[in-house]
Amino acid sequence: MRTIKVGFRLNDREADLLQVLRLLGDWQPNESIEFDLRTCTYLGPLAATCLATLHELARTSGGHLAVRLPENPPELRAYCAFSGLASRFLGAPSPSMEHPENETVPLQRIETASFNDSIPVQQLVRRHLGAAADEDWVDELQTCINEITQNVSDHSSSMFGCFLSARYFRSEGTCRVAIADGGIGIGPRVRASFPDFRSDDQALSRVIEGDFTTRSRRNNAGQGIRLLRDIVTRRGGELTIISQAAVCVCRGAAKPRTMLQQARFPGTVLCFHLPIIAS
Amino acid sequence: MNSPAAQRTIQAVNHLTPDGSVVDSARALATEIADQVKAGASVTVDFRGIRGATTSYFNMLLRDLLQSLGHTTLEQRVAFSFASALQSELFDRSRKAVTEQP
Repeated sequence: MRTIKVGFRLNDREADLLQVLRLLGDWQPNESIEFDLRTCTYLGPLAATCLATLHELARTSGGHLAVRLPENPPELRAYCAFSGLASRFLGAPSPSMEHPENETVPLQRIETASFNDSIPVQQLVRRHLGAAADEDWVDELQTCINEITQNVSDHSSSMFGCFLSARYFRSEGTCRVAIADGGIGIGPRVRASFPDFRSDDQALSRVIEGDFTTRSRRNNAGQGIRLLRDIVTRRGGELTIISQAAVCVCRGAAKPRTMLQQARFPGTVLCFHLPIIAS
Repeated sequence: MNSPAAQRTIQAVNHLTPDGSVVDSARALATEIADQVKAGASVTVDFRGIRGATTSYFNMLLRDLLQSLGHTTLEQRVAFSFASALQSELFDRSRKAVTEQP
């Protein structure tokens, strides 16, 4: 069994995930590997959803993916319990959403696009913000999540849907949400219908601009990812998309930064940070 | 003399499917609207209570309504009342998209 040691912060940003993907290399889902995260110093929703996705890909392909989780510092150990990582990889009891110290939405597997997909995150922010939660902001947060799960359902061809995880950061005043699937990827999906796109990052750039669709389903009109980008960036947040070998980061009014990497995620993961608006 | 068309208000939240499917809920709402309009009513669709609406929800709703009622009847007999600026924005984006990509 190959062991991949991750001894650094696995933050909710593309650079850290890409570092892990480079270590993962030319991984095949039928391979047996172990992630040793015992000296890792930070984990968040991006890591949780990606690990769950890799695990599910391995499980459904005859491979095996084991994870050794950090036990220190105590906050990180608590995160592993509350996020559902410990239950998924170590067989620990399922986390309680109602625990007063739980600032996460534990890993959720989502298989169809439903208004219900965003309810656990809505409940998380309401539990922490109470009556101070700005209703328009909560609605935007739910729309962002539902747009992503609809895209997964319509376009990804992921065998198991996707995994969602979220975390509320009281100190920095943000909510971070990550959703990862094990599907074909945005670039390959687009290029299958529009071969003129020369690369996955070029195709991803076009999707991010909006008014562009492969029209996989009758409800598609090429608006969803652009709307997600607009909501997140006008609130001062950040959107990161890693889809197969293409990466895109949207921040503020700047033009989205899209690039092609050698490291490849076997599917698509979207992670966004949304600053909290409370009255 | 023609009698005035009955005015009906349809609450979108009452037409969510049990599993909350975004697309199926839009289709269920479109069917209810079309049935009321075909029965002679003018309809206001109220989106209060809908949380986390998406472009797919409005795309599906508008495509089904355009197919069953046509553009002119939709414009003349169906009005939409939104619960938030975001819902209104989503609707406008969808209307533009489905008009340009029927």
